[in-house]
Amino acid sequence: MYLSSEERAIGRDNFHAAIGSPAVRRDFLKRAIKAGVAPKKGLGSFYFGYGASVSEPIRVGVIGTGDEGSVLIGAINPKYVAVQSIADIRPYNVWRAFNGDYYSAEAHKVRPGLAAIYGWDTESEARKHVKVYGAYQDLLANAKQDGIEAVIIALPLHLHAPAAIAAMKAGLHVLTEKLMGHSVRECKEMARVAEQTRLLLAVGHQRHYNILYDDSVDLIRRGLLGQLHHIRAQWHRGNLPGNDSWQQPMPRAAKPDDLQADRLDKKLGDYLGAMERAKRGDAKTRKDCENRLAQIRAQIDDLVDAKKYGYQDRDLTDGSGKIVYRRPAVEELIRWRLWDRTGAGLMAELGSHQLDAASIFIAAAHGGKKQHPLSVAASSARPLFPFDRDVEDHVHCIIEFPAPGYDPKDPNNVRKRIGVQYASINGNGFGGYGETVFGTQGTLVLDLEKEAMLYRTHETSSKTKVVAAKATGKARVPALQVDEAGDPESAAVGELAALPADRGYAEELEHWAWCIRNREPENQPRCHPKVALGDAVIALTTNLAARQGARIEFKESWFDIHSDETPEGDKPDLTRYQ
Amino acid sequence: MNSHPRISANSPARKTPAAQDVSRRDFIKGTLATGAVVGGGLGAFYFGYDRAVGSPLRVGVIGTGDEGSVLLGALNPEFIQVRSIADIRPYNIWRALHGDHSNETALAARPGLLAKYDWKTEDIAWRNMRKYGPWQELLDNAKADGLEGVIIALPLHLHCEVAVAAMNRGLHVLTEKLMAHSVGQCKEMARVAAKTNRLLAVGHQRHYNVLYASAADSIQRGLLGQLHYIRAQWHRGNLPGGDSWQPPMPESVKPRDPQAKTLAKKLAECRKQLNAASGAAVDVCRARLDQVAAQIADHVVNAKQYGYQLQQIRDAAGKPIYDGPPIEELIRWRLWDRTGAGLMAELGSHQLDAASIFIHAMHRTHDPKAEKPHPISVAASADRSLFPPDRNVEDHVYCIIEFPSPGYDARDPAASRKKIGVQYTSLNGNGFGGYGEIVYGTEGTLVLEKEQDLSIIQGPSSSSSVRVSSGNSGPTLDTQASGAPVGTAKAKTSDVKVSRGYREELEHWAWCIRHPDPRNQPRCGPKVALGDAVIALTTNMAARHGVRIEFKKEWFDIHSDETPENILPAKPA
Repeated sequence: MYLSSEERAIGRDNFHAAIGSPAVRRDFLKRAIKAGVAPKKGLGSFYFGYGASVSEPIRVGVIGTGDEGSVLIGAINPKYVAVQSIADIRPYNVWRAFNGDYYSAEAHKVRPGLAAIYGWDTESEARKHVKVYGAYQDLLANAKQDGIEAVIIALPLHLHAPAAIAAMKAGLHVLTEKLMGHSVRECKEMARVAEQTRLLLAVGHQRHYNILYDDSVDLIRRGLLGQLHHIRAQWHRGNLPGNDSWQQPMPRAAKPDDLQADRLDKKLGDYLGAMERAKRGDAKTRKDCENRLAQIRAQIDDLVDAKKYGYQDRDLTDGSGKIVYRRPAVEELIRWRLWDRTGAGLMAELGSHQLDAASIFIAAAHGGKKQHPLSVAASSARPLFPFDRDVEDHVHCIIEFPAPGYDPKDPNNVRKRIGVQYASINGNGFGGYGETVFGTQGTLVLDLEKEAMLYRTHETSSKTKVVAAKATGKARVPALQVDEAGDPESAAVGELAALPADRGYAEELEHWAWCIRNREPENQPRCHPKVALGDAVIALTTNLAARQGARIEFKESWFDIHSDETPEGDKPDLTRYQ
Repeated sequence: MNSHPRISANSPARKTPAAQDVSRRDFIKGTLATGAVVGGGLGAFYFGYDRAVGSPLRVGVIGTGDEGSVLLGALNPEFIQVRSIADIRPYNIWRALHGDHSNETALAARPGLLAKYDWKTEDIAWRNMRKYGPWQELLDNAKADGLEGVIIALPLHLHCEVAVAAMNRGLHVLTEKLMAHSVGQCKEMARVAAKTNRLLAVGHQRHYNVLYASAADSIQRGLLGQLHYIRAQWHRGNLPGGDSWQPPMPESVKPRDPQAKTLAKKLAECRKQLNAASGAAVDVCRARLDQVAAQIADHVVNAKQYGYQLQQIRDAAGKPIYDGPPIEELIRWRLWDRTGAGLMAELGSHQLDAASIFIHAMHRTHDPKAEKPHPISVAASADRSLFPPDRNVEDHVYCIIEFPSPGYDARDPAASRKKIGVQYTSLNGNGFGGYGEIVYGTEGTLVLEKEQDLSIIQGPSSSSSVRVSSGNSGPTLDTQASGAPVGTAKAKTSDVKVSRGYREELEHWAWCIRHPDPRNQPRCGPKVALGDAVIALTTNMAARHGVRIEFKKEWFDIHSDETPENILPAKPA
């Protein structure tokens, strides 16, 4: 039911031996190794077929520099993207945009800050190059003057559509974080504006740019898993009340009676103590302490008139109408993922990525032809967290996709479907996150976007080797076989090639920039409006199914940008943005 | 000290040792006090019955196929004496006596009655018990044969009819799961049991597996913190042409069957092996040969005479594309809607039974007197992406079943979300991950694999596996900690095979019959089994009709006439 470290090692080896096999993509990988590709160093260009450079970096504004915006900043390759301006209404986020995140070494690696990316020594030095705005409208109003061509949007979900549409109307290309929009209606509005303005709109489902997923798709398309018949995916996180990554502590002044009101002050005290002790330590420790101290102070000073920007006060009431929780507007801003008006819960934040991956794999089983899902049955629950949020802490769903040969009009072939089982939970991180693809000949496990493992179906203790087997037709297709010795030669190639595997943010940004610089119609971001709309339809319809307690059959028209039909029933209406 | 069970006392540092130790200590204290854990007596001790019943219960066994033969293999002769058997298939009669020689594992599970009762020959066997074809004949002779109870392991559609007939003749019944083919039938059985004052037990064997009992105990003691999610699965590698539910048939009954030649080929192979064999291998090869010959002998069965029907599958134009003669419905009864109920009945029902036991245990943490909670809703999906149209049942089923968490209140906006989701998958085509249940709590994770291994993983860095070890005097339950990280920890395989619970299930049933007392009830009696059937059968309905169904509490009530079949929703266009 879960893999031991020995089984994991075997699985990794099998995966490497498979992709490195001459019958699969050895030559391709050897060229990658020879070219020394790495993230921001030709990897994306090699795997995803865009140019190794752009004539001149695209000039962008970054709108929203919070948790996720700062990750995107960290993934920027300065040769492709030049940040000219940033916008965030939270002073803390502006601080992080420049300085990065010092909470941990891992956090600093993914959020190093603009200064580090562009080699500026200090924040004030950086500010000479980058204009800083509060409201995104101000950044857009100054777009021309700042010379930007495009924006990166990492705002709370409910603002993706308004900000993206305003940006495109101002003539700017857009890369927005996922989920594409807060409703299918919004997604279609965004897609239509992109079409009208002929601007590139990319959406940040980064698995489209992860080489492990690319290798996996290659294995599936070559038939190494046999017939793909089931996908299971999960994202289990250990968040618990009082310690929830989506419920960040706020400055005491923002909500004095918040359960975590003491948190930041206490942390400040801890850091001051550490600073005191660090005075006797080495320079690096002192510097770390100073940075951490500066960050916590920025977080404590993060006082925003959130109402001015449209965030709302709200009272939660119990069955008898008694108020059980009061939420100030600033809480809706800082903890926007927890509220229906500003976010869309686990399916939007986590599930959408993984169902995106599932539909990539299922497309591979159909020879590369994208398939829309048939139905979703879902359930969501909140057994753990108190009534301090709208969103659930557990969501479970079953999504049916057509298998090759599916025919709704035939009583037998109507059953040829591929079921995708998904769970996203809090409270216990056992099993972590990843996707498992079941085929009749093999099993592929993708773990944490970082590792891929392959097995001959259930044989998790067996090494495998790819052999050229006879297919039923005339072509010889590769097959996965248990082999006591494995295939060390191929595994060595595969391992070396997979070494630089990263989550894909850097390549996503590079490719978008390259498409902007090379405007032929065939140059499109891999997660363009049609693909991203599909991902949003799945995530948002799953939310509807879970909340309404119903099984919902997908309509083809929901996936069509030009159809006014949406699962929620609201028609796209561009006049809303005039 | 040799008469006492061996207890491994190594208990390295654990994150939250208290609850675990209490659990183990109480168990150990009990075993030491009674000295009961010897031989196979672990179940008797653990489930609170005596190690013997006086004179063994006299039973007839109706249906001695795959599952009936497992029950014969599990029975303890000190508790049960088989006086008669009934099966319309000669092959099943052969297996009842001689066991299943397909391979070592099969023979261990189905050793046959000759081995069980130490009868040297078939003749000796027939001097000790009677043989019947149809079940009616066995029941007609029940008095003459001195029967007190029957064990039923027939195809699902017959459970109700036969159990009711048996109880009406004054016989106690243990029937294989699923309780019956419809909830209406289950209620009928339960009512007849009450009216005739007979003990009706249903074979969800996890109720008698010490690992499950230990797991439920750990949950109730709060070892996992708050239980908030259960995932269970049964993944099997069956593929077209190699499907355990689609055994080969004698060629003469269906010459066009894709597996028509399988048995004849096997017979020739076995004959070759026998000719080449020497020493002890001769006996093994001869038994295999005899078994295949017996399987071929099934061609004499007139299945239609016993009510089995022609199965036909049609294409979109209404043209028949598959014909299954009545004997195919008999031999492959699990594949057809009329005679079976697919993956949920055969596999899922056991695991959702386990899930509901665990959720009940969690409710008892808060209130020791808490009733077993009924599920709130089920959403499901089923498909047949792999097998051709040679069956009714699906090869994949997925479901999400919601149970109430403590504090659940349907009318309150916050409390209505206090639910526990159980996510279940049963599939063919790839056995990756095997089968088992994972219970998620806020302080720990409990993993049950293949009814054999129980691991409890606490926090990020320690895990312990509860295992059954064989001591000087018999198997004992034992908790050990190992310091492997989460996700990589793996329970060691127990050094003795844990009883799946069949033996204890049979022993307890017999013991309850010998000790008539309202308190002495099989652990899976009519009410519990009805609940399991409601879940499995309603899930099938949700999957087939593409709807989410909310459970009604009346469906779980033996005395209410309401059943999920009554509310069969209109099929969407």
